[in-house]
Amino acid sequence: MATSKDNKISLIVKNKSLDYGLLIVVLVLLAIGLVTVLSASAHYSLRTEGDSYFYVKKQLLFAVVGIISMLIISRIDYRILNSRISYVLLGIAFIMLCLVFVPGIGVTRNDATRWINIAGFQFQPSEIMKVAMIFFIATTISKNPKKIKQFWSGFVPYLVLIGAIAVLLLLEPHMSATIIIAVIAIAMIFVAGAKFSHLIPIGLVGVIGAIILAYTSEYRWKRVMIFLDPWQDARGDGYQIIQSLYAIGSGGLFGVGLGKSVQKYLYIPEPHNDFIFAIWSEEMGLLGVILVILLFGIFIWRGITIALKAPDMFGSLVATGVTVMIGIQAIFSIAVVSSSMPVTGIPLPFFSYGGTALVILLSCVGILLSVSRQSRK
Amino acid sequence: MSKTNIAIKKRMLFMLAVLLLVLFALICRMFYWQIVKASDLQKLAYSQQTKNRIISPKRGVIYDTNMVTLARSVNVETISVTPKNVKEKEKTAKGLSDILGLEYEAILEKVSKNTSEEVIAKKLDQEVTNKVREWILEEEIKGINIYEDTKRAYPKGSFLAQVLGFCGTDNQGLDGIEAKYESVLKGVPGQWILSTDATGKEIPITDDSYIPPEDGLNLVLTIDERVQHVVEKHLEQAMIDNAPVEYGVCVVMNPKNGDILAMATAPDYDPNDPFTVTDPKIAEKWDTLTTSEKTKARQEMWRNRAVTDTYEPGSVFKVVTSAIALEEKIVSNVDAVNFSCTGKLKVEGWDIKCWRSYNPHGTQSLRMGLMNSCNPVFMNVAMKVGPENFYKYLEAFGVSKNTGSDLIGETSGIIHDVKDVTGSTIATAAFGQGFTLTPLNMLNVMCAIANDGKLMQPRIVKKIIDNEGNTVKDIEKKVIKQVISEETSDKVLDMMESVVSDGTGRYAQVKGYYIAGKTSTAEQGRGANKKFVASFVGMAPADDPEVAVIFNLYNPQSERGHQGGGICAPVVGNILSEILENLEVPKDYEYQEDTKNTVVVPDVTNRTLAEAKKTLTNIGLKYSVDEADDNVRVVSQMPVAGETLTKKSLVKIFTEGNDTRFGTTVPDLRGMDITTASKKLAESNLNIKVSGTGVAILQSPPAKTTVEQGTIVKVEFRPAGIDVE
Repeated sequence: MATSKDNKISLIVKNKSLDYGLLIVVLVLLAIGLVTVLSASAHYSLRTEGDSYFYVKKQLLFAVVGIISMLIISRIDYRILNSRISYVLLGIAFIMLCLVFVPGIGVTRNDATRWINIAGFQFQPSEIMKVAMIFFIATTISKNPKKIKQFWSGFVPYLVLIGAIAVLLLLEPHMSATIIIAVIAIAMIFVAGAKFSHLIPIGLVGVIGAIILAYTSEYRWKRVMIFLDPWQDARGDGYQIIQSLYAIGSGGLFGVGLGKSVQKYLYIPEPHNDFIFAIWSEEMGLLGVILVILLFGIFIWRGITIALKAPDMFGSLVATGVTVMIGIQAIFSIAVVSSSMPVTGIPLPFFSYGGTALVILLSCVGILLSVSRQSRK
Repeated sequence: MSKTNIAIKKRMLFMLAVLLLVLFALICRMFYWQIVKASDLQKLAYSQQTKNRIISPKRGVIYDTNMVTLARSVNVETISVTPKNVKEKEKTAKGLSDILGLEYEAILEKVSKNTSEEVIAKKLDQEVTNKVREWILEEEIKGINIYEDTKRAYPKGSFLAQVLGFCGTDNQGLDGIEAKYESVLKGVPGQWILSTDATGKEIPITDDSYIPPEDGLNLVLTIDERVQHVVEKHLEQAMIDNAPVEYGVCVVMNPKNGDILAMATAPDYDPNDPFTVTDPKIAEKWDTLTTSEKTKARQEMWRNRAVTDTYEPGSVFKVVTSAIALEEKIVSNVDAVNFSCTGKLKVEGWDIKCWRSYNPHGTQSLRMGLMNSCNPVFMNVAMKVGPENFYKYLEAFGVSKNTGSDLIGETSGIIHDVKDVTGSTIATAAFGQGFTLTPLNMLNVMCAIANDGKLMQPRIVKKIIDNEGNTVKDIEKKVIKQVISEETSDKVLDMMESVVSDGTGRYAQVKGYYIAGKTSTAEQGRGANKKFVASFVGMAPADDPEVAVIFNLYNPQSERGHQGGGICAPVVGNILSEILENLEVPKDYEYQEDTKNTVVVPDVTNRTLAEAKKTLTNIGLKYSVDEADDNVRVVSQMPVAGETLTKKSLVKIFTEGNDTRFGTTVPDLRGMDITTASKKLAESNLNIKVSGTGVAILQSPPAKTTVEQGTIVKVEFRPAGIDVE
């Protein structure tokens, strides 16, 4: 391959402009997200912590750390990861996923063991796994792009990888992360050139598998039934989604006004978490909803544009992976909140409360920005 | 490094398109919820986010004619729990049961329920709820709610009970004026829509809507609290004196405007606690009664018998017959001796007796007939008037008809249809037998005769006022019709005055006033079921009555007898004497009380024996003491200070060293005159308190009971040989 001066790998990238469109969209989303956390968490925060600002202060602190991390990472040449480092990363991610099951490290909430606690930081290893997997797939595919078209030697190994991760995640259990990781991996493989003749049967198997998975677990099947008619159990399993719809419906076209949500008064049990978009919908109405969805649309458009303009396949795949990761989480989160898919806890990127997750998220944006610095003009 | 090729770019753009399409689909989905379904969802959300607190209006006050409060609403509070917010179930239940005095298990069950709210106790005084508040603060108890509420209170207890009625726990009038005037008194509830969080706690949302309650309007009755008090006092005493009595009724009206000044039924009940039966005989076996028996007992007790129960009026009705006779010119001179009593009168082959058939009245004038309550006189009159005419008057007086008073449960009596009237029907109706009416109906007819012949509509509520005292509605007095002439009215009153001054109604005399009255001892039922209603109607001042009283005792069975003139007339006399003074009716003549012969017992305790002896001797009382040392202090005396005694009565004195009380047996005084009875009591070291003149017919305490020496025995004397009917 021809090498240009531009493509020479160095740790620090200097004097190359990044994609300001993406940066601005991310900062706007983050700003709106923080305001929404403030509004959504105020009452909950007062009732649980005795301080209306407890959650927003923490989130703001992590946002600052995340932005610094994003800007630093944007200056590091992403290509240093196109190496054994990505293998090591994947290994670490797997170890962390296993650590979840180690008593004393794993943290269980609401019957799901999804967190680990290391040195006072609590986070979900699945977040690390998403990123590690993106680099791993990008590294291995870009090494030999043609190989992906081979079924057994190119395609199947990735299915095995997805399967291995899925098994660990489903043991937690963490359905939403499983789906997101599978979608990211499939999206990257698809973009890299996997054959439709391979993808479609696998897609069908996946769909059938998902149906079987849902049907065989009473818990998951109930979620499907509740999705079809939440009012059949309005005080029980349908409660959350109904409360979310009450919030959304109350918003109407213009919303009840910033900070004036009523549903945040514990009707939505943790209004600053996975259902935060319902609060935004209530306060800002359909116009606010369209604004945020448009911003995510712009984000996806800029992300894919960066992938298109990336100087190499690794960059393209990393950009695709990160864009899909953030985009698909936004889509799923909004879809759940609006009862467009069965309820499963998916935080809305840049909005939902969660410090470590926000830092990881912004760091990933940093990688996207780093790729954008190397864009071909 | 591999370069991205065209195929990869196409796939990226494809993916971009898919993601953007999904985002567009989500916008459509949100459009569906936020525009299409918005109003449905908003309604549902609103109903769960708000709680509608009903604010009860304050129920109107019931005042007497002089604005004395008879019924009012007081603030109370209700305590409830929100079970899911109660953290320490046992501790909470324990605390509530301690403060409220309720059963621990019952409260524990309530706080452990899976409901949104459980009421623990209603209608609590603020004194109690404040204790709960303190406890909540001290112990940091969660999940207890305290709401404001109101409770109906009757500050005078059983006063006017059957007329006022009472309210249920929801402050709804259930009986009496409370029920009749429910729509006026109740007011309109307000509401307060509050926003709450999911746990039911109020949240600071500014658009809460508050609709204030409209308080109920207040009633001003025609009842005069002072008159009612007098009536209830004497009715209660008469129930005791003549026990056993089924029940007693007394109504006082102002004939000039139809105002009901007092209305009492005995026994009564406490409208503050209307479900507790007051009759001790029923209360005793309460737990053994069935539900329907209990309901019946309560309903009996609640009846305002002045309007709900009818009776045959008996001889009081002779006043009406007299009026008809005069109006129809059957008699023009009331003193003309045109009638004769042979003890009975044959009507259509039946012998109808005079009450004094054992000693026929002989020749009689109409006045004498009324004074003696002679049946044949009135039978003769009625026969001469004829059924058609007689019944025309009964119709005009409204006899046996509902008076149209505002009193709940008023019933009409039963009377023959004029078509079915026979000679004997009319003959017995002439002296008030053979038809029924309510006491109020009877009194109202008497009032028409007293009120220059004008029949009035009885009135119990005279005004509806708002909280500022402004009149909302005046209930005007209403003349129904002129039934008899003014001249007839005057003549009848004059005859009625003779009844009291020199006839069967003598015991109703009141010093200082001329009283018009008529006695009655009416038979109720015939044969084995025969009972008597002793009755008296008295009106004063006789020439132009301002008050009219009817006093009935149903089936009195004491040794005092069942004659209206004997047992009811004196009570009416006492009642009139007090209420004429209360109402400041000018006296007809001045009467000086003879106080020469009585003295008030002075207080001689805490003095030396010498001083005590001197004090008592000086005012004409005797003393008795078992102490020799005149310097010893007196510790008590019998009778105590303040009692009235005739001169030469005995006062027992006790000192510290000689404080032994001696008992003595009360002698039987019946049949003795005042002098003999006094002597007899003095022999037993007892004192006498005389009422009336003649021979002793009743004494209290009764004969053969043992009492302390010096006790005052009340003895009632009656002139011997007077016919009381």
